[in-house]
Amino acid sequence: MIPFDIVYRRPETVEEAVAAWRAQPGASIYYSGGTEILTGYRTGTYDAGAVIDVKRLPECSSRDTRRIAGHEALYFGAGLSLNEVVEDASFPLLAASARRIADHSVRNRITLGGNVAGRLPYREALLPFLAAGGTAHLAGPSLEGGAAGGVDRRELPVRELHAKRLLLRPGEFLLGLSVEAAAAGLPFYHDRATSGTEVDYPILALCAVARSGRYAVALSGYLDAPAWLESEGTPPLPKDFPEPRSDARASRPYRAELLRLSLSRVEDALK
Amino acid sequence: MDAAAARASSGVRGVFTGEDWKVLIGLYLGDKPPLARGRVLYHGEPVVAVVADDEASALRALRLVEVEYRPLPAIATPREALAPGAPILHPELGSYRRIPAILPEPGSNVANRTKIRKGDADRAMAAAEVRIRGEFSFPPGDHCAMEPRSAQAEILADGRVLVTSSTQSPFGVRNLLALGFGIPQGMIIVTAPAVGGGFGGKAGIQLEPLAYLLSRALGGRPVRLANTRENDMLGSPGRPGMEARVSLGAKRDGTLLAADIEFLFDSGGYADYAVNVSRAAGYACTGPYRIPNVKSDSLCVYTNHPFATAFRGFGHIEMAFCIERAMDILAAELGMDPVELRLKNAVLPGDTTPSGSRLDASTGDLPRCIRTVAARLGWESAPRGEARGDEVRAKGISCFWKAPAIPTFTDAGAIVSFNEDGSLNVLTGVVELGQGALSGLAQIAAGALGIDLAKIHVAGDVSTDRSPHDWTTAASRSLFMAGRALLAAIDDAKAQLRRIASQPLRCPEEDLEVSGGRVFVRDDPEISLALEELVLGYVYPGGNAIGGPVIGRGSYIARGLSDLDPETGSGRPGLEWTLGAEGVEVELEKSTGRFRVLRSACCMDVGRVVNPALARGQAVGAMAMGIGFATRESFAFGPGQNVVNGSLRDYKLMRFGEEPEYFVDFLETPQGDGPMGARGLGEQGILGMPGAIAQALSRAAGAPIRNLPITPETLWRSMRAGSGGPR
Repeated sequence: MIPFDIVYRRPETVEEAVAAWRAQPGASIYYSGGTEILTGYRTGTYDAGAVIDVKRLPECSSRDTRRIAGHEALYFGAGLSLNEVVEDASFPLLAASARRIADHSVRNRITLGGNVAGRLPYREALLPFLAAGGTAHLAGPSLEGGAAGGVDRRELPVRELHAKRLLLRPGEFLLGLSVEAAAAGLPFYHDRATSGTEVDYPILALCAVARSGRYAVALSGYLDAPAWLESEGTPPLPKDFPEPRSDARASRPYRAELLRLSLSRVEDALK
Repeated sequence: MDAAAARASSGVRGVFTGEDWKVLIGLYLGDKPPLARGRVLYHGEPVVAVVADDEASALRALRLVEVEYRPLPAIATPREALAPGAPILHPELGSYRRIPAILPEPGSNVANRTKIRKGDADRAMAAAEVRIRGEFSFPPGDHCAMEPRSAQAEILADGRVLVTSSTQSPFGVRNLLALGFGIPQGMIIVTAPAVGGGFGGKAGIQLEPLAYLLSRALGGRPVRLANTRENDMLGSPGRPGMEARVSLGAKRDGTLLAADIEFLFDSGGYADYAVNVSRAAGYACTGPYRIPNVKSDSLCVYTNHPFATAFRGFGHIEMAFCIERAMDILAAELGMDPVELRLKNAVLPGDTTPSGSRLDASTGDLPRCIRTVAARLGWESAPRGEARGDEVRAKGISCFWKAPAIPTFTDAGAIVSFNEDGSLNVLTGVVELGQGALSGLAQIAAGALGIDLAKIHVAGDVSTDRSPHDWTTAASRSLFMAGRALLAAIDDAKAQLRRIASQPLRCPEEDLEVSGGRVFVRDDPEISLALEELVLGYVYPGGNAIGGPVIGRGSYIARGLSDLDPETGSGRPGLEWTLGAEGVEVELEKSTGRFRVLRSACCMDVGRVVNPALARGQAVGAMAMGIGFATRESFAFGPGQNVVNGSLRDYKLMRFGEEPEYFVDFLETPQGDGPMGARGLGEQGILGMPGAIAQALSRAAGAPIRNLPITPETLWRSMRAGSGGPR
């Protein structure tokens, strides 16, 4: 059980959500599917006294096509459940990657935004956007205006926004992710290995796309955080690419071998 | 430890540590304080208990307790524990209360040693044409029963102690509480409601004494202790790990001559049931093979791992993995097919077990079990598997046996009574754990009384003040023993019914039969009375009445069991041996080591199938658990022997999508003294799976597997090392 009371807020608008956070900065956390936060409350790894449920905000629950920077783009609200993302299927690589996260019952709760912006280091739903080059849509308290200030929205390429954790500003949260429609339809390759049973965190998850002779590969479970690389021709592993992590699920050499095998299949798969 | 903040927290009634009580409690060996005192012996050992008005207040306070630990050298394996200079985890071992069958070695970390000396193993080994030797190991793990453990205690004003517990052993809990705290047995009432799975993990004792002590410290108010999943995995007992060495000597034609065996069970910080697990593995040490000369030492060893208790298979799964792997090494050495080697040495009636006990006419047909499994897997067509590109398929087969590891005086009782409509109430001491015992008992009663199953009502909860005594719901013995007691109780009730009916029917008792809900004259069945006219006494027309309520009682006690000789191990410890064979077909991806169990088969001789659906359910559930045991279900440890996978996020169980195809066959060589010829079958399906999987994957990988769990990475590593052929 969760041994203390929590204030639960479900704002109707982004402005209300940001205002709620601003009212108690540091004491509130944004909440989406809740699978990690509720279990963390139970075991004591979370202790925030208030949650702000943003998954049903219009911007977070939308799945639409819009024009972004002159291109047609597919937009996925951060509050969509992983099963909704899988069933949508308009971004096949995202569907392939999301359907391997947790199990079907849990994917009814886990959201795209929770998987990408939560505390767990795997973020497999982010990999398709790292590989295909997606955009993150964010909202948070404006930097000017103090306590009465408004809301700042920004759009950033996920590759720039991502290093270990999403580089969010205080009080900022993920509204959604978008990808160019043309990139979403590219041929792709997805591979995933676990230490044993399939329903487990990956020791290697890999998403790859090819676009006009360039390969882009995104990885999870391999280093401490998702990573990506891009190259001309055959997917390489740069000489200076970091050594894989080693933990209870897999050793360093085993991860390295799985990546080597997986990369060796990318070119054939994308022909 | 600083608990001041916890004591001051709202709703808190008391905060307790190991220093509050000097008592030691244990099952067969009294080695465990209710809370750690001064030092913890394993990661997860409870050090403090907070009692509060509600769960939330208790949890809030618990998080305020500050504990500072100073790391001491930790013992990681039984061999380390036996090495000279190893820390002695229980310096007071010699003074602990114990039962005579358990033989600890004070001054060492040995909690029990069971010796078997049959024939002259050294001489036979030296003379053998072929000798092999193998070392095997696996870490401890957890049962992961669906329901975490829970116990509640309350002391009434008149001194009666009421305990409700998720226990497989309500009478065992009562006796140990009486012994540990000097309470008269009749003043303790232990109730076991239906339990959400046990697998042996709830056969010992753990939460109950602490719940009692907490209640006592708070004036007898009810105190409930309920484990979280994580506490259940780490704080409460799991199953033992193992390090083993097996040497076999044989003739060139494969005939086994000698075995030299050392089993070192990793019992963790305390012994609980693990001492008897090591004893059971000792008396069954050869597996179901005819070996005239046996030398075996089976030890239960303290380490700094979570402590161990009974687990499905009770020493026989651990033993079977090591023996079956050794048999595979021997088969490879001889260039002999593993099936052929097993058929050649399979035990038959007239053979003797390692403890010298003769296998009687009730012994199951092991050769036919082996042939049935081989046929199910198509052994002849592709015994060594086949490769298709990166993927290779292979098969493996193994044998098993198991006899219940029970005290020589293990008993069961049954009481039957009737309702006015002629339906039957059954009281036994058997706890329903999901194994279906109550259904099996109802079927036995319906068959014996010749009435519809819908008219049999078996009581669900067991309470020590009203249920007849029953040793423990464990060791796959409930259907056998409580079944026998129930048959005796029904015979007793039938005799009473005949006696009452003989007067109105004007007929000698011995001419009456009871069946189909009536008592009738054997040679003139028209002359009869319905049960409802008799069960509460017969009333003549006019009002006179005779008889009174019919209450049948029956009991059973294990027959002809004897203690083991401490030096040679000779004796008769096993009531009945269930024999069987299992096999699997696996598919391995050689580049990555990923694999799947595609098909599995089990054939065991159960004497008589009482309920086909429940029997198959037990076998299939056990086989799935065996796959889990072999491939994932075990603890992993960090450098300080901290468990790194102590939650279900990291500790993986079998999932439905991973189930192989299951073939289950039962043979029915009757058990002469079993109810309707039946013998135990609840645990057995787990026993052969690890050996069969290891054999198949060793063959597929071309590298011998000696250790569990088998994971894709361990296979990949052994293929890279590429040593020594498919043993």
